[in-house]
Amino acid sequence: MTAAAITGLGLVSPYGHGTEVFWQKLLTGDPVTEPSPTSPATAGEPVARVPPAGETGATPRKQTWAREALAEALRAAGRAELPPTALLVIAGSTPCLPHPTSPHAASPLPDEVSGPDLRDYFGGARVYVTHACASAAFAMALAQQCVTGGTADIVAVVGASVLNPYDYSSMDVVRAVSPTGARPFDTTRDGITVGEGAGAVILEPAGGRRRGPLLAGASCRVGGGSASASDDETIAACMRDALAQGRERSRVHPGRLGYVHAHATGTPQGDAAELLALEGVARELGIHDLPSGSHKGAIGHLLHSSAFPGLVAAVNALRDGIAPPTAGLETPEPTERVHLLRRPHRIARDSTALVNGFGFGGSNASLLIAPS
Amino acid sequence: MPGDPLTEPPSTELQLTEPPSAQPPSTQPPSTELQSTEPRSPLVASAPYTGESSARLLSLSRAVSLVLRDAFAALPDDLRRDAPLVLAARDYCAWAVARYIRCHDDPAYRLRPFDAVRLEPAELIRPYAAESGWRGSCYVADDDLPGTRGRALVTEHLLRAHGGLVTCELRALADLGLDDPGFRISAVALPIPATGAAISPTRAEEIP
Repeated sequence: MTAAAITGLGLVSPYGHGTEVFWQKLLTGDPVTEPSPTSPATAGEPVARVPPAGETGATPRKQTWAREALAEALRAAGRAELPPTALLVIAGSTPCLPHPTSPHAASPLPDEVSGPDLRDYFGGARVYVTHACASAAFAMALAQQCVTGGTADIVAVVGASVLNPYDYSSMDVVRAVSPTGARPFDTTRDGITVGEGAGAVILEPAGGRRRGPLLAGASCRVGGGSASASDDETIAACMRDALAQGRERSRVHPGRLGYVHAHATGTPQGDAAELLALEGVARELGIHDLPSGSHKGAIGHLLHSSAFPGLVAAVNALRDGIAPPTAGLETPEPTERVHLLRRPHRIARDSTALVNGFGFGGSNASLLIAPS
Repeated sequence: MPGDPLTEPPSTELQLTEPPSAQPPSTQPPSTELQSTEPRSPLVASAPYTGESSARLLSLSRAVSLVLRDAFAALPDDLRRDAPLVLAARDYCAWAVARYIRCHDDPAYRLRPFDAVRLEPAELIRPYAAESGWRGSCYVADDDLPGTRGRALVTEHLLRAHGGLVTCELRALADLGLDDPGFRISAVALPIPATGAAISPTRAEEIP
């Protein structure tokens, strides 16, 4: 079975436009979240906005950013465009559908909540994946399956999220929004900060003309006893599955795990469940010091697209041998084997990394990244 | 090759216009559908939105569980627990988001946590996963537009990789308007057993 190589990455985030600007600023540990006196914040909570870069306003930002991220990922993969034989996997909440024709139909969905619309961008096979805030992680798991099966030469995964009152209220109504700013894994954490941005990943069979780190394992499950919070058993099972898949398919030993880019949004329950799972997996692997962190205190939670910054962070951590700090983390939760990072931390360059992504509906995913 | 699950989109097999029992067992796909008591649409499960209660979604979720139970039962024993599931829910997503927006913009409506959770089709699968012990990969994945081939391609990849899977569809029974169109829920286990596994349709009145 062929392994899947990550040959291109693209990112638009509140840190700016491009993967490198995100990575360099993430290493500083400085958050870019700011209190927002205007919508979508309902009570002046912080949000994280993408800095403008000449958008005209004629095209919805979601669409613009998705195309920008795809263009960056394709450049990195040495391609000018997606070949017609590619599969495009789009991560989001709902596709852009044609305007309803019924006189009783709802008005068209606002651009902010549907799409991104890539109908004009790519006329080949497209599939839409939706798993709440784990959408991008599930989309990457699906893409990996298609590449490792040997039947897809190239798969592109793309997604985008823009701040809007609808998505924001869906977090606010479950009391997930922090009034002061996300502090993942901090003992004083009290919720998420909503951010915006876009990401793209190009996956191709390993051993081809383009090298890149391997997406060596991917697990995605729906389960658990609650719709709104992930449970530690399902999270741990996903991480174990991804590690086992890496061992079976790419001969990547689970004990090489050197970094976990956690989902860790900053909610009390979600972070606690993930930390419990991380401790359990570290114990099983005999790892005494497992570095872990999250980008969500720095650039906020990109909701359906939240796995893209996580993947960029993990890939660059392995490339540079440095695990990034978690912005907003002042008083880390007590741990036994998990090292919650407040500062950049050196890791072995032959390490592997896990990227976690969770969402409503009991959606849990874990991705294993290994050096090529 | 007609009937070949590798070349024919699963959705083609699910466009049944009569109860599966009316078909010869040898050609009958191992699918199950919910049969309502309405004569106009004999193979449907409808879960109208009332705006007042979560009970309707619970019944839709229960209906999905029953359909999935029968479809997974049609898989060979060694595949059943770990086989992937592809849920095609484009219509449900569009309707759920439109409904959420309407509620959000209605000053007389007070949003509740349930309204946010309801946006996610995975929530329709979670009860089955919790009850059955099924632990396969799950993908809520659909063509972004009808006929863009993506889901058929993905189904083909997964079938090759795993040797078996279940695809489930939620398709609206009417135009996607503000009112609940009702959904037909159907699932098929692939590959279709050579013997043809006859599954009795689940009836809507069986849903708790």
